[in-house]
Amino acid sequence: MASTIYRLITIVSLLSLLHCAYSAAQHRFYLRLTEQPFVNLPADVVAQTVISLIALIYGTSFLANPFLYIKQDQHPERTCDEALNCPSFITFDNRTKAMSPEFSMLRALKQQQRSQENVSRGTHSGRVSEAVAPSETVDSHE
Amino acid sequence: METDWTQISYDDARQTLKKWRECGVRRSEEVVEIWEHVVSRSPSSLGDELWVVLEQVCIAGLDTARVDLAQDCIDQLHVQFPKSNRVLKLKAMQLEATEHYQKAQEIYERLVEEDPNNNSFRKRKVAILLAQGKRLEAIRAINEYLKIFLNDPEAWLQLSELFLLENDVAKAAHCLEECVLISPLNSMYLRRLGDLRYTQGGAENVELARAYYERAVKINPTDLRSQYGILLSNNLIATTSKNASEKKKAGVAAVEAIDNLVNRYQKISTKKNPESDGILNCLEAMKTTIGSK
Repeated sequence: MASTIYRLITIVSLLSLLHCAYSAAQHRFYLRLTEQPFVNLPADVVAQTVISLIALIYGTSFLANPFLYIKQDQHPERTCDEALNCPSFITFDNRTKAMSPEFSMLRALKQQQRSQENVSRGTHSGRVSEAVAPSETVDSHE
Repeated sequence: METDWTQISYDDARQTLKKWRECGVRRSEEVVEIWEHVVSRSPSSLGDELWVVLEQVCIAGLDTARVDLAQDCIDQLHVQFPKSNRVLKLKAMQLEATEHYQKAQEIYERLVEEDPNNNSFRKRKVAILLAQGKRLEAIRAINEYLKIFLNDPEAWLQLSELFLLENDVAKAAHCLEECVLISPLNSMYLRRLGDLRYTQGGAENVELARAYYERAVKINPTDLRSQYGILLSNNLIATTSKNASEKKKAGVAAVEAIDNLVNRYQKISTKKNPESDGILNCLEAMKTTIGSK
């Protein structure tokens, strides 16, 4: 019901605005015929233009979609996974490590090295101690 | 419906990777799948985007314990940018993933010294502490970091997460307040802050929680969880408040929240959410109990 009133206002003001343009053109035409200089438009045309413009703005603002709250979330479809994730603090200790064959090999190597260290301190054997420096074994105990 | 990430088209793959890169979601397994099955067929057609994608895949590879893949990416990046600190950071992250924390720490310290304005190296230093399970030290380190980079919402969020792990809800809420201060239009922070206040309990906190939830719904009307938050906090106020008029008002608001929720559930089909019928019944029952008070 309300929207028909606004629609009526919009259409009437639009027609009135077109009428203003027409009467302005008519005025210029009349001036040219009577060879008078153009100073300004008659007051009634100016008044009609302003009033119908304001009415048009008023009408269309209600015809368009309903007003939205001006402060909106920029990404309303964002999920918790996206918004509450801290990618630059990512740590790599998760269950994929337990399932990965490479890491189980690495763990076995470390364990081997540790047991060797316990048996004879100082005699590191070749590749294992190169791959895992002594300072890192301290880390792995923690 | 589950998407089979190994079967998608090249363009889709590229778009998906870009989307995930930008919103910072952690979907490492899928990234690795997309890279191995789709994008790596013709990496050169990515153009300059290739290097960012390689960085993304490298981190995803480390996250899924695929050190070989990560090494591959780092090698390619190293050939392209031999002196880049960013590539060096990836190497240090690889050391982290293989539990060589001491070496990674040394690299990060050198990087921070070289470029004190780059915050990502400092963040990685905190991540090393997290990986070793030294939570209190990590909290201290983030505090130090936040003294320099005050407006980093990610660090505040991480700090609040750590405080939650320590069961210190009040401090976690404070950290989230900083996040809200930095981006006041992020409904996710407001909602979480509401959750924390509700968890803390007490009349004042529940009222605060209600205010936060209402704010979240206002700036994001699709936020279903905040709608539930409004319902729960209003319900709690209606049952515990000593002020009679407030009690009545909260009860009315709770019923209103239920109506909103019912509206939302009626709009979606049961195919999309098979539980929606049960939830609707539950909400109706709750409405009658609240209404009878």
